[in-house]
Amino acid sequence: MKLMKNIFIIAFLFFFIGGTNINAQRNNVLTPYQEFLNELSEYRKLCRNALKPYRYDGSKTTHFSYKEYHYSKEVEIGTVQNSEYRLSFNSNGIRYDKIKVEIYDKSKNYKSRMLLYDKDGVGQNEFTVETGPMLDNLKENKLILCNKKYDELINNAEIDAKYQKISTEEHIRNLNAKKKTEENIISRMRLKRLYINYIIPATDREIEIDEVTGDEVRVVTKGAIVLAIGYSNL
Amino acid sequence: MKIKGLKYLFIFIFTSVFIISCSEDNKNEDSDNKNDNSQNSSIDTTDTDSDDYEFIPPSPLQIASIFKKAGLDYIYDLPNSIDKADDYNSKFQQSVNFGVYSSDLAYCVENEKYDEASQYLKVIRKLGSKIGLETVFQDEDIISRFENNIGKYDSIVELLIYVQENTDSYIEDNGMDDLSVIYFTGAWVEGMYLGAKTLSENNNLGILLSEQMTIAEILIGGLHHIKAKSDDINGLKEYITDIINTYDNLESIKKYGDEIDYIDVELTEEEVQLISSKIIELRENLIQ
Repeated sequence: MKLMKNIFIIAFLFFFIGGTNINAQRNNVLTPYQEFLNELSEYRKLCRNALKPYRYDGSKTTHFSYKEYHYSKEVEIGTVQNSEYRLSFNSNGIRYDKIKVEIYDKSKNYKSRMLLYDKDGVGQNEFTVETGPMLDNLKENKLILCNKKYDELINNAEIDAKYQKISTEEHIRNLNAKKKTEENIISRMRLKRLYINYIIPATDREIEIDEVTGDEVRVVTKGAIVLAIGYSNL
Repeated sequence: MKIKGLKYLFIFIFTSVFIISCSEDNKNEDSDNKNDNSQNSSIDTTDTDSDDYEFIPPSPLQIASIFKKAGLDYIYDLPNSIDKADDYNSKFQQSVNFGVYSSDLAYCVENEKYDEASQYLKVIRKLGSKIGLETVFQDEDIISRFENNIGKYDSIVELLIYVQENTDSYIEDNGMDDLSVIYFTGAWVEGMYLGAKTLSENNNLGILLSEQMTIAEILIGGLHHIKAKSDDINGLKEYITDIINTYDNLESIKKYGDEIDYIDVELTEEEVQLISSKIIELRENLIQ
C-alpha cells in the first residue's frame, strides 16, 4: 500500500515538473512582438548614446499603427532655463512606410503654432537635432510677424491718429515704443515647451483570411520611434 | 487495498488531465498573444499603441541641479524623513513618495551629502519594489557602486543617471506610464518645495518658480490622461491646477498676454510668497 502511494507521488511529481518545464520552454519562445520590444530596448540604448555630450534627461518610445488615413501623435517636452537641449531620434523600429517628424512651439490644438523643425522620410535611421537653431527660428518668425503688424499700423497711422484725436507723429511715436517693447520680449523668449508631432502616413487596407476561422481580418501594421532628450550641463 | 489503489489512480488521472488542460489553455493564450502582438497583426487592435498625448518632464536630477546653481543650500531636516517610507501603504502614496525621495536624493547629491544620499537611494529601492520597479533596483551593485564612489560627485551623478535610464526603460517596457506621471509629480513637488524653502528673491526664486509653472502644466496634462483615476489622483490634479490658476492670475503674469508662453517672469515678493505657500501646503499633504 505504502509502495503504491509512493509510486503515485513520484509519478505525479514527474508529470507536474515535466508539465511545468514544457510550459516554461513554451514561454521562452518569444512572439514577434516581444522580439520587437527587445529590439526597441537596444534602439533606446543607441538613442541615448547619441545624446553625448548632453546629459540624459528622459526618453519616450511612441508606438503606433498604420491606418487608412494619416494622423499624428504628439509628445510634449518641458524644458527649463536657457539650457540647450539635444533631441535624439531612433526610427529603426519603423520598418514599413516612413513617417514625418515635425517640431512646434505649441500643441496641435493651436492653429497659430510655429513649425520649428521638420524632417521627412523618417524610418530605419537615426538623427539628432538641437534646440538652439529652433529658438533662433522662433525669434526670427516672431520678429517678422511683429514687423508686419507694425508696418500695417504705421501705414494706417494717419486715420487711426484722427480717431484717437492725437497727432499722426505722436501716434507713430507711440507705435514705435510699443514695437520696441515687443522686440524686447522677443529677444527674451525661450522655448519652454516643444511639441514633437509624428505624422503617420495612410496605408492601403490589407485583408487576410484567418486560417482557423476562415474569416476576413484586417492586417494591422505597427511601428515605433524612440526619442531621448538631453541637456547641456555647462 | 484495491479500492485505495484505484483512488490514487483516479487522483493521478484527474491531476494529469487538469495539468494538460491548463497547458492547452496557456497554449491558446500564447497563440492569441501572438496574433495580438505581432508587428503585422491580423487582429484589428491598436491597444499596444501609445496614447495620443505623451510627455517627457525634466528629471529630478535636472530640477535639483537648477536650484543648486541658483544657490540652493542644504538644510538637513528639509527632505522627507526616510523613516516615513514604511508608513506609505497605498500605491498612490508609495508612487508619489518614490518621486519625493528621488528629488531628496538629487538634493543630497547636489549638496555632496553622500551618506544621506546613500540612505535615500536605499529607501527609493525599498519603495520601488513596492510599486513594481523592483527589477530596476535588483542589481545590488547599484548600492555598492554608490558607496564605493562616495565623494566623487561626477561618478555619483553618472550612477543616478544610470538609475534614471533604467527606471525610464522599465516603465516603458512594462507600460507603466501612469505610474511615471505620479512619480514625476511627486519629484516635481519636492523639488519646488526644497527651492521654495531655501531660496529667496536674491536667488531669483521668482523667475525659477515662473519657469517651473510650465512643467506644472505638463504634469496636469499627464495626470489628466491617467486611465484609472483615484480620488488621490484627482485631488493631486486639483491642487496643481489651483497653483497654476493662481499663477496665471498674478499681475506680473497677466500683463504679458499670450507671450507668457515664452517668457520667464520675475515675480514680486508677495507673488512668490503666495505660490510658495501653496507648494509647501501640497508637499506637506503628499508626505503625510
